Order: sequence, then structure tokens, then C-alpha cells
Amino acid sequence: MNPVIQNLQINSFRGLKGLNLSDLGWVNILVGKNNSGKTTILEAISIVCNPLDPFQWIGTSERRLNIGRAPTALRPSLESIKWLFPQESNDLKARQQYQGEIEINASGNINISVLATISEIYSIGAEKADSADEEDPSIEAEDVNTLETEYARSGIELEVLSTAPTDGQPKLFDYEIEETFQFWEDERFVQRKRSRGKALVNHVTVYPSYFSSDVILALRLTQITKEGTKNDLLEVVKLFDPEILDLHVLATSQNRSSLYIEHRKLGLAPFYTFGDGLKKMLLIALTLPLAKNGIFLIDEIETSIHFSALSQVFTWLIKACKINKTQLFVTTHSLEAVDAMLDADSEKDEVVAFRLNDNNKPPQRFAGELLQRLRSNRGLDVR
Amino acid sequence: MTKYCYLLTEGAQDIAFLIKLLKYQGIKQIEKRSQVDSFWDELIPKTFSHNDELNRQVPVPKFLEGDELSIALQGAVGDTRLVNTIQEDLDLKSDRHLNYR
Repeated sequence: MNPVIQNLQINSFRGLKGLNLSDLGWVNILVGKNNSGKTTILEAISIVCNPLDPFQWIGTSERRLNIGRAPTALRPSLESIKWLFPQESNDLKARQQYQGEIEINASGNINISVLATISEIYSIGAEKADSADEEDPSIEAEDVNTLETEYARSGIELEVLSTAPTDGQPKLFDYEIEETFQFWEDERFVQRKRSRGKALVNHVTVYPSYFSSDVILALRLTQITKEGTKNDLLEVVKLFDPEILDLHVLATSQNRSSLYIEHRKLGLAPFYTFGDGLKKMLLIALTLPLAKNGIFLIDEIETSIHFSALSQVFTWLIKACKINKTQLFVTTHSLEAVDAMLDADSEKDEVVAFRLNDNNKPPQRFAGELLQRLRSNRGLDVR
Repeated sequence: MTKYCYLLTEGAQDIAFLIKLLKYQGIKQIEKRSQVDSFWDELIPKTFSHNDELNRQVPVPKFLEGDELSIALQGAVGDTRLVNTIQEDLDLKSDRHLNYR
């Protein structure tokens, strides 16, 4: 069976231009120097999985903006959405009038092409809607000379053209679905047309500052418990602390529940009191089912996890991805993480590593027996 | 501008012979890791042990240097390993430096 995405072509997205990742595997490791585009590839994949949802664009664009806190889609940062588009000019004037274009094509078990353009828009607003709850005295002072009922609004219009997923069948038209979204400066984004549709491909991204609320994690643990896979999760959690006995969802108030860890010495303790490695693993494990039959993206997979646990963690992760028919993309700077994934690849042909190169040189692909030989037999560095 | 040269031989004797031969051209072997031109970084193993064998030598090319010339002498440890060795080395070097492929 083909992976969800077998070939990824990023013609233009952020700083990437004409980048092709061919013959992707079920497990894909992206390595390369800082600023080589590893995270950008994960972002491009998350866009291609869900191009018609404006909140996907906001969420992806703000992931880098909201370091250490949960992204908020209430008032999208127009600047961060613009920067998803290639920026070639350092002339500020040219940038203001800039009309960018994003083009990403994915083919494999599912075929999706995305073409997005962006343009500046202006209008006269009748009132300062949506911003009344955040009154800023300085803004009011500036507005003294303007009519109360009129003010200039600036924003951006995002036009997205996407193919409908075709399950590998040849397509009749290049682009079949078109959506246009308008985002206004300092205004809450409201999607007027219709409710949020389902993503074309299930996908989840876990990144170092990824945040998920206690309530959501509790819900996911409930789901895993019902599905009967909690014991697998417990085995992985015990790698981090063998004294852990069980995981529970406990009601903390009338309408709120939280995740608790039953510990041999500590008794029942809230999960957030444990170390970052354990929390990250729990987050990965509880999030993975959302990417069932889809794509799981993990940025800097080795963060917070001690190298001695990597091998067992990845063995579990690759097995869990297989069960969920989930294609995995990870970025890493760690050679130990690469080795641990190679160790975990029992069939020796599922892991593919791509080394991103400088100066727009094509990425180098290492896979199968060659990758095993380079690492196990020669001890050479593929990063 | 430095020219880079990669030579692949079957084994250690060939390498020893070439080192002696090149010495007459004023080309000297580099003894210290820190003195190896960074161009060859990918060909130097980063991890021990080699093939899970504790007592085997780690296969590192011999590096030599002459006037604007940097040479890597690689030994394949047997003629059956010649093709694999050149494939492994070139795959690591290609695209990043060589425009090979």
C-alpha cells in the first residue's frame, strides 16, 4: 500500500522553491542545518492536508509566532499569514504591494494540489466591529478627527484553489474547488460562508511548544481507553518512569476533568507535574489517533527525550503509526534519533531520510539498505 | 583554489603504496583530525562501534595534502565492497558538493 503522500512538490512556500521530495516512506526523517526548511516542509504538508480551512492557514502561520503559548485564531496576524508566501524583495514598498503565490502538490494514496494567492485589500468600515472588547485609549485618541461611523480597514484576501482528493485517480480539471477568505487588521476572523469542513487528510502537528489543554488530553485518554489501547500507551509511559501504574481521567469539578497519573510512590498526581519528556510522549501518544489514515508531523522529535529512551519510544511510535495507517514525518538534529528510528524499523525499508541542502540544491534522499549501511556499517553522518 | 581528489582502493596495502608514491610529489599525509579539510567531513565516521564490532578498526580514509590539493584515500576492505563503498561515499557527498547524479 502506498503512503498517504508518496511525492511532495513544493513549488513555492515560505523560503522553499521548487523542492521535490520523491519516494517518501511511511516514516520520513528530515535532517539539515538550521534554516534549511525542515519545519517549513511540515507546514506545507499541513496546508496541503487542509487547504480550504482558513483556520488551518491561521494556525500554521501563527505556530512560529506563538512560541510557548496556545495559538489564538481570534485576531489573526496578517503579517504572519503574508510570510507563508515567498518573500523575494527586501524593498518594503514592494512588499506592501506584493502578491504572493503558494503552490504545493502532493500525490500518493491521495492527490491534492493547492494554489493560493494573496493580495492587499482595503475598505471603509461602518463601525469598529469585533474590537470593542479590547478598547485601547490611544486608538480612540487617534480617531477623534474621523467620523465615528467610518474608518479605513486594511486586510488581506487569501484565494485558495484546490483539487478535490482523487484517491490516486487521474483528475479531469486542475483545480476544482475555490475559496476566498478575507482577514482584516485587528479584527476577529469570522467565517461567514459555512461551517468548518473536514480536512482532506487527517493530520496533526506536534511541535516543541505544542500546547493541548488538559481537558482535550483527558478526552483523548477516554477515547483510547474505550478503544482498548491504553495498555500500549502505559508501556511507553513506563519507559520514562517505571513506578507509573496507570493513567486516569478524573473529574476536577462539575464540568471539568483532568489527566492523572497513578504512581507507586506519589499516588494520584496531575500529569503536568511530571517531566517534559513524559509529557511530550503522552502528548504524542494521545494525539496520534487524530492522524489515523493520515499524516502525523513531529517537529524536533528528540526534544525533551533522553537518548537512552529514544529507541524504545520510536519502536512504539512506528508500530502505533502502522496500526493507525499513519504516515510519519519528523524533523531532527539528532543522529541518535535517526539511529533509533532505523533500529525501530523492523522491515528495514520504511524509513527514508531526506537531508536538506543549502543554496537551493535538491535534498539528498537516503533509504533502505543504503541508509542502514551508512549508519550501521560505516558510522557516517547523514545529517 | 583547492582541488579535491577521492581515490578508492581495494585494501590497506594499496593505500600504503599510494601514500609512499605521492610522498615523492610533495604530498603529505595528515595526522590530525583537526587538520582535515572540512570538505571531507561526511567521510569521517561520527559513531563507534563499526558494524557492532568492538575490536575492528573504524574505517576512515587517509587524508593527504599537497599544494592546493586535498586527497582522500579510501580503502574498500575487499573487492566485493568497492561498489558499495563508492556508492555510500558519493551519496553523502553528492548534491551538497559535487553536483553528481
